[in-house]
Amino acid sequence: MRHIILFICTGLPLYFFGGLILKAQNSVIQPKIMVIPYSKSNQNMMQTFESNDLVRLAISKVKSGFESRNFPTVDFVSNMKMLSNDQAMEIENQTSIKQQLIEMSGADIYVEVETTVNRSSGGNSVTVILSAYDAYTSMTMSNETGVSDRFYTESFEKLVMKKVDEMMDNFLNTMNSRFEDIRLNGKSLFLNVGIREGSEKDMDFETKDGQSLSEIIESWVEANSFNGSYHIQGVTKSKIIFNEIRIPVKDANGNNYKSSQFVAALRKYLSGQDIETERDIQGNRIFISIL
Amino acid sequence: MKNVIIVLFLIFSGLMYSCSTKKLSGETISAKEKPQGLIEVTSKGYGSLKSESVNNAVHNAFTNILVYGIPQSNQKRPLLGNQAVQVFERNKKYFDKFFKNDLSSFILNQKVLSFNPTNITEASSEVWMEINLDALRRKLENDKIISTFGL
Repeated sequence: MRHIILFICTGLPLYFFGGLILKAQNSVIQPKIMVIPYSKSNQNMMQTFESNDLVRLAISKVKSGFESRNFPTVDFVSNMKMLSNDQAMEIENQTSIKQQLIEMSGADIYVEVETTVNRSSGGNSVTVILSAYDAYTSMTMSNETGVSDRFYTESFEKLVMKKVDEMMDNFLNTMNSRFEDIRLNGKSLFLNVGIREGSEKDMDFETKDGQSLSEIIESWVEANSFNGSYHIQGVTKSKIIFNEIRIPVKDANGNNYKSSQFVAALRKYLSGQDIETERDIQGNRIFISIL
Repeated sequence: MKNVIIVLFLIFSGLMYSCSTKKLSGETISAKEKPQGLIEVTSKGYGSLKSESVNNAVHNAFTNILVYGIPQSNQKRPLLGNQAVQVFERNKKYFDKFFKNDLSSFILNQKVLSFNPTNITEASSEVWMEINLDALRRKLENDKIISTFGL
């Protein structure tokens, strides 16, 4: 009897909670999404945000669109504030500020929101452009353009709100179709393998296997990418760039497969070929230096 | 007189046959742009009885939303995802039950625009519907037919 009570007190909670923990471990880590205003290369992003009511409204509406699918987003303003004024002043190029912002926020995907007011004698309208990009590979995740009907009105806010509302379902559906593709065909990595300055090696360096360094790297990537899916942007004497390598979302045990694991495996392989390396991982963007 | 009756009988039989064939057609179009989570469509249906052809129109509307998507609407892509046809075929039993019992719970408004049982070349009914797309998606997500937004 004592054993039965002991089992009920300890065994059952362990069974249920163990199951929950296991489920939590196996759930896929979701990408972080940040919604930002579109700014031209010579425009200040924060200024665009603060001075343009329509963009602020559109961003807010896009964020609530994501939330309606139970997908919270990373806040643009708080991250922009973290990028201190001093830093922002140091970085003259606005494109670089955007890059810094994305890197600092840890966003995997960013959504750019652009609004334009169109005035004409036949009535006024607004144009809304929503574009989602993979922060590491710059590949488009979704793109939706909409022009509101023409009205004799100055309430552009209402036109923007209505248009974004009408566009959100299709915008999110296209993004979700990309996610579905990732689940089926693996997630994308960008890999740059370069020769560190001062190193005696180059990409034609003959390895233990008798093949050149670039050849063994490509063969390894082919063997270890998801279904052998990869694309080489270019190979020179000093570097080899893979602008897309597909790796699985989960490993054989059903756990999340991280880009760091892929890098560790490549470095281990290169080390076995007496090639020492250093690495720099920024999300799905990987830089490896051959020493 | 006898010949006239025979001819009339044959014509009537032909008409009844053409209308009684329930068929899946792509004649579902977006009626109006709607806010997030809603879709408004008009759909055509076939059948000799009014109820039968209206049900066929509703069935066609949902099948098109799930498997093919509706151009110029909030659901341009199939709701069942990139592999919609396979997902639909794989869960045939689920969808048979779904079409039989659950459709009405997602229809917010419905209006029969026309019913013309004697038309040979066209559908016998045209139905306008406002559908709660968000609730439909959530139901399919909860029933593990489609996955939730994200990876």
